[in-house]
Amino acid sequence: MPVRGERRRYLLFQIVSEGSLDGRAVEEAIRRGIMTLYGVKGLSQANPQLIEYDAEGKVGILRCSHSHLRQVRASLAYTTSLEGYSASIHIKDVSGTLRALRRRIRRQSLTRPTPSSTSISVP
Amino acid sequence: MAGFIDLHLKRPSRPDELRSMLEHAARLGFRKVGLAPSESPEPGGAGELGVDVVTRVDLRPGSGRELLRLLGGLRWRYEVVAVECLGKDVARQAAKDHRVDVLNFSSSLSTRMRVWFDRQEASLASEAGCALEINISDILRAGPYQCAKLLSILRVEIENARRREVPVVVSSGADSPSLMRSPREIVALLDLLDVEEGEGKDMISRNPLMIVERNRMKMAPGFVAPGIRVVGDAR
Repeated sequence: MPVRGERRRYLLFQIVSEGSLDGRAVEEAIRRGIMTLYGVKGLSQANPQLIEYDAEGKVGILRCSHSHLRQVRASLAYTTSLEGYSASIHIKDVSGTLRALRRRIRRQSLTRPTPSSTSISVP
Repeated sequence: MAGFIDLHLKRPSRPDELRSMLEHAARLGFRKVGLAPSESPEPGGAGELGVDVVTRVDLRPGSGRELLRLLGGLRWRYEVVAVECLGKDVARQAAKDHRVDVLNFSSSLSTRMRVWFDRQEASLASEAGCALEINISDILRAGPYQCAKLLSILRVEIENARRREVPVVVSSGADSPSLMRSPREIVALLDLLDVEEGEGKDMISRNPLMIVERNRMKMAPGFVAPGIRVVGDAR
């Protein structure tokens, strides 16, 4: 019997921090944040995965379970420091598909005057 | 939609940060922010940033008697009168005073465990029309263990407020841009307090707006009493 796959959400986020961060550190911090607030069970249900991260613009795309979007949002909002620097993570956009999110990023980067700070490289 | 309101922005540690905090508030999607007047920029400056500044005073009296002395004459000068309750007598006095709009409890966990929004407090606040204010920065600043304790207190406080139909206002309480969160993020953080999304949105839009509109109406020229206003001179 066919089983329907888990529904997902793709989150475009931006980090505001003085320090420089690589993708691995960001993913680790996000996982740690969810674990702190919701525990191992919450982390397994939210199932966050960093799809891509632009270290220069400090923006990235995170995938998570559709039913645990609010928990992931809360965990990102709860973050106040990354790698010893004061930091905050803001969600800029949420989409059901990666393609739609990338389309929206492209559209925004065309309309905004300073795209380098908010856009992400689209392969 | 009433628009989102952050009723409590604190004095930033660096004075030049105030403008960036107001800009940040506008970017995050807030239409109004509550600030003590000495911290406010020129009215035109805030307007050009796209946020409406609500004048607010935060009182930290040491006793109920001191609170009564401080409250004299303040009502007509500020759009929001908030009291930080550091003692039980202050909390009781503030909750039954009609001049107080918002009750705020200490961010220090040791004080919070002693003085908090209990059932009696909720009954008094309900009769006087006071609101309970929760600062998100208190949650963000606390370490994991302290945060767990604080969340359990806040959960009971919100439940007490619900039972007595006391409006709850959620503000950032931020003193730097790094502690400011967007309305959606605040609503998501309220998941930690078992607050549903719709109720959470009301806590950052409808409830604070109700306070601001009520007081702006009172401060408008021609106001006599609730429901009575001078509309013109008959002569």
